[in-house]
Amino acid sequence: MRRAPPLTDASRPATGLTIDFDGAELPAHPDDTVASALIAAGELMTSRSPKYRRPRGAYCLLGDCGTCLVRVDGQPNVRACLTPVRPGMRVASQNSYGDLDPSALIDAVFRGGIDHHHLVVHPRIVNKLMQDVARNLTGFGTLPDAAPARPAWREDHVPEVLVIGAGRSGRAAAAVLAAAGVDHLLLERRDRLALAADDPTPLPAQLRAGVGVFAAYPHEGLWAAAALDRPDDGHGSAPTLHLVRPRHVILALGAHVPTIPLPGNDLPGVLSARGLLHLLARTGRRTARPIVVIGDGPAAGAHAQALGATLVAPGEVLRIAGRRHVKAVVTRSGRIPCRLVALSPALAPASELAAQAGAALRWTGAGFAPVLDAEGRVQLRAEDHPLAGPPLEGRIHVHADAGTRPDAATGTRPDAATDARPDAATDTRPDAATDTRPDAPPPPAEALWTLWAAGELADLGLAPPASGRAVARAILRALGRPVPEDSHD
Amino acid sequence: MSERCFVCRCEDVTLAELDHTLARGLTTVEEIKRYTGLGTGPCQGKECVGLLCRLLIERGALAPADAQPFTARPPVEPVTFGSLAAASTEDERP
Repeated sequence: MRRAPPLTDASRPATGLTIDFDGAELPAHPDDTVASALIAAGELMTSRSPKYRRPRGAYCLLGDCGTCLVRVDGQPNVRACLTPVRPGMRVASQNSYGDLDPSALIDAVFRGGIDHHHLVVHPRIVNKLMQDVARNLTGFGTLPDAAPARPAWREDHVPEVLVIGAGRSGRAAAAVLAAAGVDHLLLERRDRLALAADDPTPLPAQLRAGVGVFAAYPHEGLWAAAALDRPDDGHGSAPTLHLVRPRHVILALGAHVPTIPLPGNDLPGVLSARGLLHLLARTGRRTARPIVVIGDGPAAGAHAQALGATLVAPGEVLRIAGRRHVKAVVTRSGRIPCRLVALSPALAPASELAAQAGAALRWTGAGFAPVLDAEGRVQLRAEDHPLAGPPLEGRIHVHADAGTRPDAATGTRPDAATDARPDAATDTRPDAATDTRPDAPPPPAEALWTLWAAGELADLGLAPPASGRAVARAILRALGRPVPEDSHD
Repeated sequence: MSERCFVCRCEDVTLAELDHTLARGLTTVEEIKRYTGLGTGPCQGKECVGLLCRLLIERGALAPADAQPFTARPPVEPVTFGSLAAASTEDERP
């Protein structure tokens, strides 16, 4: 019953590598992700949605969207698009009921959509039962098969500069810092194969790939990241938590691909054009069945050309047709049969970590970007500036932590004079840790880092690699280091 | 299966439900998030919050200069409890 797969890898010999998906053996290549192997095999559906039980599959293919979550070797909620295949890997769809499709029943009962705020509110006892049912329906799989063999490892880092994101801008910034001998760390959630497919230049020495930064704690001077995959490195198959306390942070996180509001925009087989092109570059696969690109973003024409696809403007589309996966795009001028639909809207800068770190954000027309000064320095929201607002409990511990920084004791911070903030290093008073009297004046807080942005997150009027270099050079100036000429410009 | 147009796929919030929410007088990003659950799924708004603001601007419910996302809170990436637990240990990888 399986239809012809939407992707081909005819140019490459079969390797004999297989993965198990819901009991079926699927061929894979060593450079596949779980998502690319599934899509290539025509397995587009990986779960059902929480409320309407709609079939869902991978969309963005870049780690952002959260609908390619699958169970991998007993571990729930693993992003298929970021997970490289391993021989014999056991992959299972989540929340999918096998072949049972309850969506027709749900649609028959809830013709106007489910308004859960007014559904079974009275009587109370029924409401309580309903809440329990609802919790079971939310669909995040089931608990892992077993508790981990050991807790996660912890790694602490105190680099001068933390670069988050190893796309073209992040790598360009890291190259400038490496050439100047500045201590830096480059974190990227994608794996090395994805990065190599993106940009053929050698990967930076200070790169930690497969590590996703998940939080910024500005009052504690801390960034937290977790290794996504759990390869057995001889120390037990356990994840690693990275705690980073940098003096400067370059956000080079790129952008997300929003969805486009069209009927049927959630069908398995609706992918982001950007993610699909990354997938093809990584795996060497090519598209084997007709594709339609829907989009009005600046790259829509180039995406359609690169995919050999028909380009349709969103305003022309009446609906994306299909039941369990895409079958056609219905436009005002007719029906275009296809196996995959690739969306190419204007991108939304990945501003979430900047926002957590206190950045002032501006509307770009498709999403939000941090407000920067001319050099790429992120401007903080007035109310969230670490110098404003009431003290946090955790801030007292921060002072003790900050004192352990190698450079904190000497108080040498060449850029302190230019940013007019109290010097973080000289104010790590040992007594701050003990002064917990409720009526004690709040300890003076300080910005523990300077935040910068580059690439698609920045509005420096520069293409991604050049903006990474420009920001790294601005940091060299702030550090009082000699700034080399930019040989690329 | 009836056709639906989704604004937030993580939490199954449709365009019709967004308009229903606006009609009830809930028109800010924070109100819409709380009423519909939009942006509270695994992607934490990466896919939908920009689209929501665009739709609110198109409907005259939001001025572009006032557009702001809902509060960004950790984690922005899925992370396991096992990884978080390592923050309280001194167990560095050998």
